[in-house]
Amino acid sequence: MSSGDGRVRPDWRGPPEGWFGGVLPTTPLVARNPRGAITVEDIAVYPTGLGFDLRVILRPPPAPSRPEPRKPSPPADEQFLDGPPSVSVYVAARPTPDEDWEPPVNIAERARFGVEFEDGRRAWSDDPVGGPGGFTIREFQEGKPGAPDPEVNVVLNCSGGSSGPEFMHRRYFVWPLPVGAIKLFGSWPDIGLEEESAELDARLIADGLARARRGWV
Amino acid sequence: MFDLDVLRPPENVAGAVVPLGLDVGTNDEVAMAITHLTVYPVGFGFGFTALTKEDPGVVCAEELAVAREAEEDPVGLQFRLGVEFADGRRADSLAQWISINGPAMADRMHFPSDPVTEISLRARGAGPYEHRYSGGGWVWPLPPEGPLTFWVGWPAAGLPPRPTVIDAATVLDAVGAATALWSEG
Repeated sequence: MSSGDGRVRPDWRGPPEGWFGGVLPTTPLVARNPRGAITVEDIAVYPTGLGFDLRVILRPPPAPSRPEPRKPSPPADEQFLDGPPSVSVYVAARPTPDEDWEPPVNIAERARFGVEFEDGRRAWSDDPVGGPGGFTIREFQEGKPGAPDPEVNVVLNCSGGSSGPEFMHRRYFVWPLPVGAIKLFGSWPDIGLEEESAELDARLIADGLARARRGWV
Repeated sequence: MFDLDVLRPPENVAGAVVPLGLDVGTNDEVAMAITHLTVYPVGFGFGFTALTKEDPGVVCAEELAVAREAEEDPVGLQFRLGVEFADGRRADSLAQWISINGPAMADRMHFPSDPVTEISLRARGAGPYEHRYSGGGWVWPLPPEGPLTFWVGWPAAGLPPRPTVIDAATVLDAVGAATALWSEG
């Protein structure tokens, strides 16, 4: 498989071609406070690394009780956008102790996420290649030579996603497959969420790898 | 007011993941699998992956050429995901929801609300990217006990829809492992 510019597709780009990953039976909660959370979902183990979805969300408002149309005196923390009775729209205020606080306009650039191997290698969303050597994804995309070293580097490669003022989804691939446990860490300063972490232990990852299989024998 | 649970998993819950790795269709050019379930108190998601040896345009070229020559509508050759409950409720990625009490699709304004008689499947996907299509679906509500059938087919790639059956207990037994991200209040 070519990377599109004639070069052989490198292993750090994503799941190996022709393989189904072994999905892990866990949804790690990386970080959380009363305003929001960072979780990792759909973790799949491949011989060359780990694929997963990062999910960053603001805490949703409490499920609104179904409002009666034309309610005469809504509570101060509620707002009704009145239309015809059958199409009244109910908007609940965000549960926040700070009345001046507003949702961040672009959390994709502000929430931080990363991985750490047992040997100390770290990569995170702001700096997706950890370890020595100077390899960068940007330079690879520009066609410059070079490759990360699986013995000393770790790559956290993002292959897309979506985001809005109150959520972010990103698809990531971590290369290489860690030997031992891997720590997932995240923070979100906009909502006062300091760095917290969750760990995938080595046994869990090994079990996932045992379930990975080729699409064709 | 409609229930957003019909459209997507509840935002304030981390679903319980159940690895599956079910082969739902394989030939010389395509391999498809339901990789896992993600179970919530109100419904379940499933992950789907299709691997191809060549780009989809190459894989589907032969079937599309036959349809073109016969002047057939190629819509029937589209990739489809479907789910069927033990009580007969069925939904697929082209007909997003179906009621067993009436032809819901005939009423375009109908929105499912009865978890006893109705079913909804919202398919999602990403790709194809480097010979890999990853997607899945959100099924509302939880299935009743009994067989739970996934219908998967990609006729354009030579794989007509076929059923793959699991026990709904695989879903129902995992509900208790879903966890709330925040307690109420």
